[in-house]
Amino acid sequence: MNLWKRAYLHITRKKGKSILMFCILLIMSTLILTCFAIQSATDTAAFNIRTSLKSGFTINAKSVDTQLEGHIVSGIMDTNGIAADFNLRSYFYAEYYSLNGQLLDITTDGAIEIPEGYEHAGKMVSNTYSNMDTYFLEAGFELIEGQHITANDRNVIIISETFASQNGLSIGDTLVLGGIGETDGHVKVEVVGIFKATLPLDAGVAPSYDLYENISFSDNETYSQLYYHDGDTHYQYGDFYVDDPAELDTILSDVMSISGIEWEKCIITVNDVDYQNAKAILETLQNLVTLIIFVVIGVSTLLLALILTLWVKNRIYETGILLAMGFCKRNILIQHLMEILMVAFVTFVFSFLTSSLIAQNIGEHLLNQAATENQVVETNLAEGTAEKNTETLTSIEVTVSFSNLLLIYIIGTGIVMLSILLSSYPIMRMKPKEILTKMS
Amino acid sequence: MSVLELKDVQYSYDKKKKVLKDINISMEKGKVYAILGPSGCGKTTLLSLMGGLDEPTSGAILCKGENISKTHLANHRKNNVAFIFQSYNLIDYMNPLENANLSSKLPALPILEKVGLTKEEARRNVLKLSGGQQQRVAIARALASDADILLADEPTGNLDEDTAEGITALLLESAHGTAQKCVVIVTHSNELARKADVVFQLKRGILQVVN
Amino acid sequence: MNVLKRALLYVTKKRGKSLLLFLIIFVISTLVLCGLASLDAEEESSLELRGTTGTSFTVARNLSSGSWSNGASGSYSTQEYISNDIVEKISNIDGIQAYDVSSTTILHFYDVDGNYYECLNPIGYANVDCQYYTNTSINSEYSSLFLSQTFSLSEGRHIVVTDENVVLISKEVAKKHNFQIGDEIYGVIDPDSSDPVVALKIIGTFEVNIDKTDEKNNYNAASYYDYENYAYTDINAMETLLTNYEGERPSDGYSCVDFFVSDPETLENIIIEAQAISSIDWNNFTITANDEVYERVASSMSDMSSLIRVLMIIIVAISMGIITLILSMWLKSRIHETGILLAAGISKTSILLQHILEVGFIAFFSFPLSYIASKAVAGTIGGLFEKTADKVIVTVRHLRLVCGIGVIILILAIVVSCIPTLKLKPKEILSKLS
Repeated sequence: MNLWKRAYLHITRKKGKSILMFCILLIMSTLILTCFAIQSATDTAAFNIRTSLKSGFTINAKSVDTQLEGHIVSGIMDTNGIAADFNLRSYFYAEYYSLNGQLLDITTDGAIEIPEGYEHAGKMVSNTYSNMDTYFLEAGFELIEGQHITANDRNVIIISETFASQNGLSIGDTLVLGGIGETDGHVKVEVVGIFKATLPLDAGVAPSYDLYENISFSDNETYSQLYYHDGDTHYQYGDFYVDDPAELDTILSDVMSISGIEWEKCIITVNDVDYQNAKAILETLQNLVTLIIFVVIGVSTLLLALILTLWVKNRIYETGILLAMGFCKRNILIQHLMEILMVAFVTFVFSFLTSSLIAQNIGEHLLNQAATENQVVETNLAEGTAEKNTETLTSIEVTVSFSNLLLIYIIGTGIVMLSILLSSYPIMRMKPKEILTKMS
Repeated sequence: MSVLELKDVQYSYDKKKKVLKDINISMEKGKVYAILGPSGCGKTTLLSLMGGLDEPTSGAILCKGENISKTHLANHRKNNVAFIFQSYNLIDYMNPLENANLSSKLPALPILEKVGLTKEEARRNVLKLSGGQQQRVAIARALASDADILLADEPTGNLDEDTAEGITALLLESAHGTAQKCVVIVTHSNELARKADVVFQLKRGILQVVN
Repeated sequence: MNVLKRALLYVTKKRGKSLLLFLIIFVISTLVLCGLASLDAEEESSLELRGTTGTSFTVARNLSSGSWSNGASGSYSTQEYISNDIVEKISNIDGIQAYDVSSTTILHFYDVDGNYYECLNPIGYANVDCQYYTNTSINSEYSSLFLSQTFSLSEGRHIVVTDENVVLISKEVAKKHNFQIGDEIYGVIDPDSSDPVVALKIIGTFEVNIDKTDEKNNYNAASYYDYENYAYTDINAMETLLTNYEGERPSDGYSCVDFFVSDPETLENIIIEAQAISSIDWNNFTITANDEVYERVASSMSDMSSLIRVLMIIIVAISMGIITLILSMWLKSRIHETGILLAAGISKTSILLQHILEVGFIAFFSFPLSYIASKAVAGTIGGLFEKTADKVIVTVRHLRLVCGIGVIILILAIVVSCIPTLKLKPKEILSKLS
């Protein structure tokens, strides 16, 4: 009788034992699969945390002749791992004219000096999104009328409350900007917003163009038209973000392999302070799960081996009979192995169901499941559009995947084989010459 | 024709006391050999050597002219000999038919019927069989293995007088009947020894023919 | 033979079986201990993780609810300043990790002979070239430029609340003038007046990390000073330096103060507690929560925490289930023996007690050993991942939990497993035995 038939008879005739083995294996494999499910969910949560920590980099292309051009920006936005958020900005000066060519008034009280040529000029900042400018975020500027500038605005301007009342301007009016220096460009802009400075600027330190009242905000097209009349859009600075701060270095090197810009002349600054602060402890938390998985697998192996050792002692007589009949030890060992594996292979399928059930319950009742918005944002960059899906967060799924099932088969078989090896020591140690004495 | 031969066989544990000294015997098919001797004198060791469960310290054991250690003891156990133990002969998760079929050499059912089990009993749970029935199954398995040599270690030791008689009769029949097996029985029962063809006495390591 | 002796005999004579049971209880306890230690590690780490978001709240003068007055350089608010007393009251609230003020002054630095220390990138005007844009700081580690990593400490240490007359300067300036940690420089507000000169000890240097040329930072007067020409000093020094400037001294109060909390989850409650302080007139002040970063990550962090917690709990629960299963297996194999005892007239309670004692003897040795083993396991495997080993620490508290609950479970398991055997009627015993 071959070992397969003997194994089959053992499983079917010793029903109580087989069911017990099924239960024990089911518990163990369910536990391990649940661990895997939770581990991948934890990894998703960690990824969400990393993404939410908004890391990115700033490219300072001021020293490059053409600065950042639209097609370079498109290339960057297309790079793998770049997030949907971005802001492109430039800083320059412009003279303010009315529509009919008259120079407008600026504030001079509190200025340390009025530089020559800037008597009717002010500092200007162009942004893709003006609400992301540091003047609004840090210096206390507040929009009191109208709207902020966004990516699709062209030839618009936001002016200060004082400048507006000084020159009788309101939302919807048009004024003209004149470039200063070597350029003589003129651009018509429409007033779309008015701001107020809520924090004071120290008196007597700033030149007139830097006084808060004389500052204006515009769009990047306007800047490009003023200083580069070549039809292309140019940007001095670009702030970009990445989906996963852990990939920042790789993404950055991908970005810097984009051709068409002299990267050596750019200053690239990485902004990932929040991520760096959280990095170590985040990894620790993820490692906790990995650690416990190792312990669970190790304990399962040992436990199974111990339980089998408990049982193998009862089979000494059977082993004696088979050895006396000429079956070799390896044959007997493989029979024992097959007895468990045949049950195990059925168990693993069931454990997929049980662990999926547990995983689903965890997913439904335990997690916050923050709302995941899915928007497609299209931005016109003059040369083509940048299209990005903005998923605010990846939804955390606690599930057991088919690859996990495959893994449990592999790991489970390994555990069973190791346990059999460990617990079969009494059988392997048995000497045929002791059999007769044992049998009386 | 000698089917089992022991030539100058010596055996000792740990090179100290010699348990078996200068054993020289030749056994034939169709005969029943009994080995008598006090407990612990080495009868079981002798049986182990004959059955390829152990190897002699010196000397050779030949089966049909070939040295069994040269062709590997497991082969010898598989093809040439069949054991019948005093107890624990049967595997508990197999019925008598399956137990007898372990060697898969000859069809087991007719042999089981020949040793006195009904078709129904052949499929019963072995734990529900009486002591005598269990020993019959053991004999059936030995016969189904088609081995030429049957080695029995105190086969009637746990049985009452009447049942023992039946088992003894079966063993005798295996040797003297059509099967013509070489049956070696280790026993301390003089009754059984009286029925054997050759009786050996093992005393202080030396085997002497008694009858 | 009394129950104690029977139990002892079993454990000592049936060494194989006892050893196996010992090992099984040992292995499972080790797993449970690792699970419990991991639960604690998770709680601690999650708290630390929340803390890395640098959540704070800012108390500032409420300019809109105050009145205005006219002065030499324009109109100014007469709103109440945040006094040191207010700061102290708020800082005493449980959960506040640190706090810092933000106020700046221009300081001039000189050596002992009255020669000024030239700043970096001088423009050639002596009275400007010795100006340093100085921040007053209570805990410089928490000042915004250090928190945003614009600056980072390169040598020495930060200013803390107990410091008196100390200063932090930039690495570049220190290099330029060969300053060492411990050197003293002299600071004064207006060198041409009777303002007091204060000897300041250099306790640390900082380096500038960012792209200084990025114009996004040029939104206020501070941008006229190179970052390298910034400095930090303590409020005691500043108090002395500003002696002649009533209204601007630390003792006159601050315009805004930032308070940092150790656990962002408690931010709301801490703010409520602060607003409940009756001696502060909250009409004059605003509180702004700075928890933008935490808000973004809060739900993900909480999910992560929940996931890890539930995993550990599942493991602990299943371990308890497995030990129950194994114990019942172990006891089932002793039905024969139980029958003999019952037939011999030994009472059911006595048999039950015997089993409990047997397991008790074994567990008595298993538990402490599993404590040692789990420490080793947590240490070795944890050591494979950096820093995790420091967090997963098996404590005596865990052991006590395992022992306490373990004993209850073991007893329960034994009782439940013994029920079928003990329900045997005496006449059934004989038939069961043969």
